[in-house]
Amino acid sequence: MTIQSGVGISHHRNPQVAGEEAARDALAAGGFAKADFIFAFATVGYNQQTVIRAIRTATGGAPLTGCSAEGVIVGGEIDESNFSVAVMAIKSDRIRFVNGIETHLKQEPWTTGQRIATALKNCLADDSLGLFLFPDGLSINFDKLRAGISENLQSHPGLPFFGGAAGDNWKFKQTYQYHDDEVVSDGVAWALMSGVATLSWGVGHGCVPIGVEHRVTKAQGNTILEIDDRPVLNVLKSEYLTPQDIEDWTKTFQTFTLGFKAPQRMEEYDQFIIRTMVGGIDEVNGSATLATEVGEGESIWVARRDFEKMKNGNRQTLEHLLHNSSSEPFAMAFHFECVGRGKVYVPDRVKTELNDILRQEIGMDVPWIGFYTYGEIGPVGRENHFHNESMVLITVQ
Amino acid sequence: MGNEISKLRQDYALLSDQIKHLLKAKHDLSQLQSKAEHQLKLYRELYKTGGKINASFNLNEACAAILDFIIYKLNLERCVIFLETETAGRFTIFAMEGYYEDDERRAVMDLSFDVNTLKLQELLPPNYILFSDPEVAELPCCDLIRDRLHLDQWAAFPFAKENTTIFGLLVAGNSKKNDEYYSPIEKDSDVFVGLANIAGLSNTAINNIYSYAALHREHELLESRVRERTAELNEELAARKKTEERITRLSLLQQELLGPGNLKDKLTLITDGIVRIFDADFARVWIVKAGDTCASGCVHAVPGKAGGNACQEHAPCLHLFADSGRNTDTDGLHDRIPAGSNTIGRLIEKDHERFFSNSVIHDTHFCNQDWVKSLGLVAFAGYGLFSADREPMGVLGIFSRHAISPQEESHLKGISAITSQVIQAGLAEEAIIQARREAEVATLAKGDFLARMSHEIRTPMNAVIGLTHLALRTELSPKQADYLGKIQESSQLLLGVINDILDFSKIEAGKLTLENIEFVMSDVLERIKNVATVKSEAKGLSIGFSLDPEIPARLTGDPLRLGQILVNLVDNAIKFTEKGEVAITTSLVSYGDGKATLRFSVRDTGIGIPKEQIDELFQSFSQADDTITRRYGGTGLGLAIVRQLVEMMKGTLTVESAPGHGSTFLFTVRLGEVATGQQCPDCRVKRERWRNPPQDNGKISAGKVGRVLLVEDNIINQQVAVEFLKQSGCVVDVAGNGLEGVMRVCEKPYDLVFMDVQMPEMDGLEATRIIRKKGFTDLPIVAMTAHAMARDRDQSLAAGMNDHLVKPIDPDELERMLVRWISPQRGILPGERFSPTPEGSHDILPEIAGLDTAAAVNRIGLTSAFYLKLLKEFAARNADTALRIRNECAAGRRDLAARTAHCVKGVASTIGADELARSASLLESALREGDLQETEGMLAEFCEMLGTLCGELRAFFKDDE
Repeated sequence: MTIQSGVGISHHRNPQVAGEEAARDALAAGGFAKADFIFAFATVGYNQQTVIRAIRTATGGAPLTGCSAEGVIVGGEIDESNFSVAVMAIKSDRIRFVNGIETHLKQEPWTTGQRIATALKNCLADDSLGLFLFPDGLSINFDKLRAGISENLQSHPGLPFFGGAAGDNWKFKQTYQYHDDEVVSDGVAWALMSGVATLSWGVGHGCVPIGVEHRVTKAQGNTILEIDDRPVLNVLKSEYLTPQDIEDWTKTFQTFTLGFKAPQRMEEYDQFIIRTMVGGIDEVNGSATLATEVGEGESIWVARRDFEKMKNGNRQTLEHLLHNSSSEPFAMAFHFECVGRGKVYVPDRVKTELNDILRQEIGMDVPWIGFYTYGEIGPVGRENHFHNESMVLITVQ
Repeated sequence: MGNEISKLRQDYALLSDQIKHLLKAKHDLSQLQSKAEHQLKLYRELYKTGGKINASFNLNEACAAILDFIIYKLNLERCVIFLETETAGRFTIFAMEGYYEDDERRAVMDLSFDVNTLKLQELLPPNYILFSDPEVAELPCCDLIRDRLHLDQWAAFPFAKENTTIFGLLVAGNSKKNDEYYSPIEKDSDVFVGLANIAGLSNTAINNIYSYAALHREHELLESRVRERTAELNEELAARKKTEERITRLSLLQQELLGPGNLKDKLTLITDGIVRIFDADFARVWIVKAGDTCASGCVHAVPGKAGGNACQEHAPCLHLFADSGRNTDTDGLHDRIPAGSNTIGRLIEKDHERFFSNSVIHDTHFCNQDWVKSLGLVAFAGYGLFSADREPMGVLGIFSRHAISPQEESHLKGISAITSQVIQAGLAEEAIIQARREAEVATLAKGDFLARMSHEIRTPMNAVIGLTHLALRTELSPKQADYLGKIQESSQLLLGVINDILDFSKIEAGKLTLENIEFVMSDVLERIKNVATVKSEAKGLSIGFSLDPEIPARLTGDPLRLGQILVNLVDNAIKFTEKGEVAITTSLVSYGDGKATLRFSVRDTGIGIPKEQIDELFQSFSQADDTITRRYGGTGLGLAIVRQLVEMMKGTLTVESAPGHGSTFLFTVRLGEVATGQQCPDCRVKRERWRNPPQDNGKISAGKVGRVLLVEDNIINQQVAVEFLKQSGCVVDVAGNGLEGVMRVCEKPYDLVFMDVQMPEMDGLEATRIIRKKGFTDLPIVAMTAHAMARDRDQSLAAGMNDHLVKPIDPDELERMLVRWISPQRGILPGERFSPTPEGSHDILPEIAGLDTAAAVNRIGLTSAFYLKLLKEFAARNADTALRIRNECAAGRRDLAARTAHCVKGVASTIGADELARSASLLESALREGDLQETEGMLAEFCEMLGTLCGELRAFFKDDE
């Protein structure tokens, strides 16, 4: 009984060619002509439908799950251009996948989660190993989505969620989610992995708080209206942005992240949970929208990216993962990186270094796929969380 | 508290401000670092791409690298490269990238424009067009780029040759609908800088590629020309080599033709050679057969007959004579071709001597297309063969299944000329061979005729002469004696004429050959003297013979023919001299290396010969003038025969004469010299064949006879011979044929057998062979025959006979045979019949110390009489020799003295004075080597011996005087 997998990447500008190329390379790397399951991630320069169709055709119509990305990761190659596509082809008689897709995420995140749970009920089994989720990064409310899934899926309360929010190369206009031939937006593509395998994972981030502790004095859902009784924007402008930055604040604010004190149960993770202002800042009311719910009275710090913190975070993530892994060789690895750890803020050499820290321990030849997300999904402890400015690594043995 | 708070707030603000600036600085630094890294990466890629396109000499590869950089490294959406077509000023798409939808891509691929129409002809590097430049909107190319290339942001860079003439355009950019995913084209941005740089590099690279391509084309063209020329040269070389090879083989063929072989062989060599050298299918030679002409009614003249050729009446016919190559079935078409009947037949007609075609299948001149088709023939070359005087002799035809080149045809034409010569030479040779055969037959017939005539004439002549001779020995009345004497004289004359005629005929027929046997000159002169003396005495003339003693004792040559020369000249001298004398002198001209040249002089005091008639003297049938013929008779053959014989003996013949003052005929002959004691190698065979005759010491004892068997079928000849033999004192038995002869020999012993050759029952040759087989190997058998040819003599000897006597029998010759072959030990000797010498006769030989007369006579075969004469002459000539030598020594003329001693040595040896000869030899050596003391002693000894001998001889001969 085996788990075979192979990965492929293409940068061709022609979406048809790119999809075919990446798919063929994945099959060839896996050493098989027909796959049981496909993971695919593509940047938004391509016509998404054309790319996915090409992948599906090249892989003989194997079930496919994936989403658009800010950039793709295949092995040691990272491509955050507008034209890159990554494919992982899996063939196994040990593990199996069931996939699906739901839409209307922005409008009804909990209901979307409920629908996913309903679909899962028919295919969850005792050997279900984990649920991959690829929600729209522009409309994600993970807490509600997670609640919708978990509350309607009592049979498997500890089912880990993995994945990342779909991106669109910093355009923040439209992301895409893939399920077989379907390409949707404002949706959630999901894939349930079951079977005989060991899944190990780790989550790490690389931000450090700067400045003083602030308090969320006014919030609504996943939007912080005021910090210390002042609009978020004002706080940033007055305390963290230079006069030059203030002139170009729409870009410069993104250099900062927000850190929330991590609950004790997440002590293995870090002191802080980092959030980016993924929904942007409202220029009118100065509010900032996050990917998760914010409670009033929560302590909040403004944080920044720190490369050393990132490297240490990767090492800790590895340590945690390896601690929980078996002695079998790694069959594949999934790597979800935050866009905040990509080309905009992190030099290429640092990115490469971060990647190498992980691959050197897991194995340079292990089939490795991932993408730069608008938010990462990974368990900390026994809880599934949404992360920003983080890295989630999952291995399968 | 408030102050503290305020201070804290101030500190906080300050700290916060510092943090802000630090963060800003960090961020800016990070941004700068990223930007720098990005730029560095870009320039690295630019450098790499630049290297790639510069290193490539392939336009497609270079353009692919350019497009790859622009699309993937600069992150632009689309890029198009236009290049000028063969039509000047017309640009079409050469390379493009970024058009992924089929209809869009097809539309762009078909795009072309005229650089003049778009007014781009003045757009030269480093100038470019950027979409955002204000003036660009006015340019005609804008619409094309926007509407046809679907670019909203773009830049266009020209490619120009040496920056003088635009030949291409690079356009890169993004469409509006997709521009958010691509790098914006902004002046001075990294992307634009990269684009401008790659455009510049591309311009240089494409120029280089064009230059290289042009060079490469030139090079290819040159290579192609070189290849073509090399191929041409190789072809020429191969053709030349083939030609040289052909010429060499033709030359070898010509060499072969020079060798032996009949006409058929040589013509077959030619046809074989043609097939081999020219790779012809087959080659044939026809020969005009003499006497074979078509007549009307011949099969060839029948119209409509399959394979028949139309012929003209009495046209000469060509016969197939030589045929080489593929054995084709021509259904007899080629076996016999009348002249003019077809292409081949017409070749022996004037003005149709050559036919050449490389497409015989289509050539209507070439008859019988079916035959040509069936054999797959392509080419035919035919040549008429003519003699030197333009008579048609034949045709040479070459048939080939491949085309014949002009050069090959010229060679074939040359071969046809050679073939003509070969035929002409061959026919001439055959004619010569035929003529030679006929001549040989004629010669054989002539020889047989001569032999027959010789025999038929000699046989009755033998009877006439022999019986006349016998009759003269009987008691006759004076009148009877007169009549018989005249008869004898006439018959001798007739015999002489017959002999001359036969000799002349032999000479004309080339049948006369000279003997090469040992003989003694004195014997020859003796015989002549015997005959001439009678004639000269009859006319009252004195005749004298002198023999140079220095002439070697024994010579080799033909004594018979030498004697014939002398006899002719002496007879003429006697005939043409009324009074006076005839003198015959023999002298030694030179000797050495086994050869001796003798000069003979026959001088008379006769009528002489006018000068103007001397030249014609030796022509056949010529006499000095008709009056001579009427007065003196003669056939006129004698001197002609003499001249021929002298020439055969490597001599010369001259005459000195004046009317009324006599004539002197001088001739030289070259003979072989046999040294004393040595045997003549040529004569060895003769010696072996001739059994050594018994010693003739010249002493005749009365009362002793020999028993002789005469084997002769002719009664008259029997009678003559028997009478001769009886008169010689022999006891004679007669057998009538060879068989009877054999029986007689077996019945009783004989001392000598005279055997006729031509006899019934068994001829003499067969009888001799049988007698020898029966063991009578020592019995002398002498052929006695009218066959006088040299071959007859050879046949006799081959059969086992010892000697050969020619009829009519000369009694003296008969006598000599008896003396030669009947051994004294056997008992009976004939009486001597030597003619007395004019000076008187000496039958007794002197007995002088130091002179071994018997040895001299026995060893060297001298007759006693001649030997005595020689002794007398020796004594006379050497009376003062001793004194002469002494005087010569005293005068210091030692060489002359040595020569004198040498002369004495030779003569002394000849006469049997061996001791004197030895003394002379020692003296000669001493004189030549210069030892004076030794010379004196030897001189003294020599002089004493010479003086003693001469004195004894003078005393001996004193009684004769």
